[in-house]
Amino acid sequence: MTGGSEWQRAVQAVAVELHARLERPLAVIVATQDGLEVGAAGDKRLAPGRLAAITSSMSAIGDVVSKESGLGHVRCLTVEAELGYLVMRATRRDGIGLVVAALVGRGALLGLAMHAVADAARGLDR
Amino acid sequence: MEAKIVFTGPPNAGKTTAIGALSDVAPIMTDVDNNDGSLSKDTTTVGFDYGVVRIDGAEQVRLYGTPGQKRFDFMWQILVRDAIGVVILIDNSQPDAMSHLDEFLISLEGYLHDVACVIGVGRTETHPMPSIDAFAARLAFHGHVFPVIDVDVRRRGDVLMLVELLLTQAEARLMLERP
Amino acid sequence: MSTMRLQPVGLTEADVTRLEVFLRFIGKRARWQWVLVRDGAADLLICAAGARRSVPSDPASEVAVLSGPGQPPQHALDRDIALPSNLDLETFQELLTKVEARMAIAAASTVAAPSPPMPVVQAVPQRSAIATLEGRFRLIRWPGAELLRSHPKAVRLLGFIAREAISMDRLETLSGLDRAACTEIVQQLLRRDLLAWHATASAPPSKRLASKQAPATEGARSRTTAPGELSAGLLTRLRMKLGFS
Repeated sequence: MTGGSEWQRAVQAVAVELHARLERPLAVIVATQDGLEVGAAGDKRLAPGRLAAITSSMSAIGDVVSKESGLGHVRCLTVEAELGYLVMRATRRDGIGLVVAALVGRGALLGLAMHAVADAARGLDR
Repeated sequence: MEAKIVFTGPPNAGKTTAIGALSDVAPIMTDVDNNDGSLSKDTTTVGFDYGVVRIDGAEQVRLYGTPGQKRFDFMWQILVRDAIGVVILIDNSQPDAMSHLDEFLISLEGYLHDVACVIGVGRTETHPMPSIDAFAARLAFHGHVFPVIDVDVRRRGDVLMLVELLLTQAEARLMLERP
Repeated sequence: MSTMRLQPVGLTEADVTRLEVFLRFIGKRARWQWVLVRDGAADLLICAAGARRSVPSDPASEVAVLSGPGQPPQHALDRDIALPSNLDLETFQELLTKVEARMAIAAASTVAAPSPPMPVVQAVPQRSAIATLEGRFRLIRWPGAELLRSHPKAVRLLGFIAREAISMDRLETLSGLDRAACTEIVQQLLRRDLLAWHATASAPPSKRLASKQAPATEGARSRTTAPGELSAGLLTRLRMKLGFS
């Protein structure tokens, strides 16, 4: 896996911090663009490895849709579901493309969740 | 009316190349940087490859290529659902080529009775084993009778052969289902 | 559906409970039903690292070793599957898939010839089956390139008998090939032991009308005509577009 253990610890710390900041958090995943989990916090029964792969696919597909339709680069991808939201944002750290994804319960304010994910993504960006 | 054909298989088996050989438009790809050290590629598909064969007017057949890694098996199932058929491409130069076939057959188990399927085995000129017969025997063990042929997906003729075998099976199924 | 047995060895009750919960979610797989057993024979043993030595070696069983808290996953023996201590559902699912694949490989390598999954209704001496071609025939394995090269039209026929057992009369109608061509191809397939023979001349009515079991997921294809549903016409037009005969 790319990035030494210190690198992964830093990413993991961002995941934990984001989880702590969210309202009604269910899980936070940080995945590489190609679907490998590099940071996770929250309910482990949600299979962070699997979510990492799924969110990376969604991010890539969202990017293609956005470019094909002339909307430009994706900033944030959101899924609204019956019981909550998934908010995702892409970023890069030391040349490695990452996807930061947060799952929150329905009672959370979507705007705050989006803001928190954006902050986390900016915090990783270097 | 639209329909789709899916190309799946492990990484580096030639899915993107096969779609490129058929598509009437430049394929859309969702390739990203590869961070998996076990894969000797700079990029890898994480969503799907997309191409189109235009028939006439509004009719077209969509071509999809799936990601190859096991962690994306949810995409295999999403894309294969309701397809005309699925081409499973295997890279015989990989030491575990046969277990790759097992993996895809197991993962797509619930779908393979409803869609046509063809197995294309690549790089057999340099890596003849396992033999095509061995792959056919493994399919039979899994309870499937699908065509298995050796192919080079860089040759359009080979890709067309895979699709023709797929169409033959799909046509047979439709004819058998007629009351 | 066959049953596969999973036995915990030396695990804490918390770990055993976790396995029970996992099995409730994903124990029912495509081909097998996994169950937890506490003793006796098992197909898969999940053992604590410290208990590995107590597990006797048995070629019929797979062994997965659960690492201790804070310990990296480790193999005790080469064939063992190493598991992290914080085993999650996804890793457990991957474990079952890996074991199922190994079981399939092991079973395939111990049989001299693949057994067809559907029962052969009646064994018939080859000679009489070839001579009379009565009854119905079903393909049990796709033929190799050598037969297809010598009989290019065989592909038209193979698609039908790959799906169900079909009589010669019906095969002639479906394939559009004349009786002589059908006979030649079927005889070649019989000689290569690629066909299962069924004694009855016509299929039972229920077989024609019953639909295949669809995947138990959303999006299974409906059998009624619907916009966008696959049609023979579309396949024909695709054939023409790609230049097939």
